Amino acid sequence: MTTSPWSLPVRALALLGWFIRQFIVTSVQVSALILTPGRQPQPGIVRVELDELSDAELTLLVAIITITPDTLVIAVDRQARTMFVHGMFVAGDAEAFRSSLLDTQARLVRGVRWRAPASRTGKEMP
Amino acid sequence: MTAELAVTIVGSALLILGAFVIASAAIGLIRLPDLYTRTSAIGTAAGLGVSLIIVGVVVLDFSALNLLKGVIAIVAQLLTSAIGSFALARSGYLTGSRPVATTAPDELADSAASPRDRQIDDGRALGDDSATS
Amino acid sequence: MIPDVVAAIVIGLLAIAVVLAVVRIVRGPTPGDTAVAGDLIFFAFIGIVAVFGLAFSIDAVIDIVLIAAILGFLSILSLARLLQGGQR
Repeated sequence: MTTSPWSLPVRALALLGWFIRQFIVTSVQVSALILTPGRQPQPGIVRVELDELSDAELTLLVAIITITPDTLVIAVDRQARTMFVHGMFVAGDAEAFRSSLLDTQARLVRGVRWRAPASRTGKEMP
Repeated sequence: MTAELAVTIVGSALLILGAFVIASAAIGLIRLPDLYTRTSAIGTAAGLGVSLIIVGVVVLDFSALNLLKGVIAIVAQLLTSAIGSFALARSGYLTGSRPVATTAPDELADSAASPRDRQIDDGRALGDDSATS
Repeated sequence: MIPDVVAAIVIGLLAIAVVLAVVRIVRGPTPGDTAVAGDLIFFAFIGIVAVFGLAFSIDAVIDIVLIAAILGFLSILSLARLLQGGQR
């Protein structure tokens, strides 16, 4: 089940709105971390297996992840379709961090493709 | 309260908030333990800090044209600072800035132990095909 | 166009940011840290130029900020490249 091409403008706006919210929330989180005396980040670096993305989509994904200040792409291997991402608030939970990055990828794909999987699991949304 | 006064107050508040975000990023630059957390701190200044200042300028000096220029400036600033941060983090890693020991997990260091990626250590191969041309 | 006290607060905060960034440049330890600190000085510079432009009612202030935002990444890209001795 894929999305209708006609809904692309709506999906793109949903991506933009989600990104702006994410951008502001994580900026405030990082600033709060810095300004809280004695508090240190709990960083981590995870390896993420990417879906098949076009060059433009991959660039946009790297840009979105890097602009939100809590996450930072350190390396991309396009042939192996993997990237390494540094996070400020991983706190040892690599799986939660990885799945949040995969969620970002799914949101991006839904926001830019004419026909995207209707939901992350590929099943029809309820 | 006149409209002009309201504009001055809102615009000034945006400018001060933006400068405050940039100053707090600078504190992070001193306080945080390694290159990657520092780059993340600078991300707040590059994104939110500069954007707030641009919005403040547009509010104080408002016209339709300035609004358009402001939107373009914010989009350009976000995209270029993302490219800059990525290039910096990547070249930092390649030139030997290691993450602080509390970084857990560090799957990049783990993968560097495998034969395929060993060239990372001599500062070349990793991500040579990535978007940095 | 803006009250002097606002200009003073903003420039004061940005000056603190520049001083802290210079401390990081001096301390290092890696070239990457120096480059990140240089990046921050550039952002503070955008803010300082914007506030000066507003304080002296210079019409071109938004254009200056726009150009700075578009071109700013060139400096950091060249720094990143310099770090790697010219290799990509």
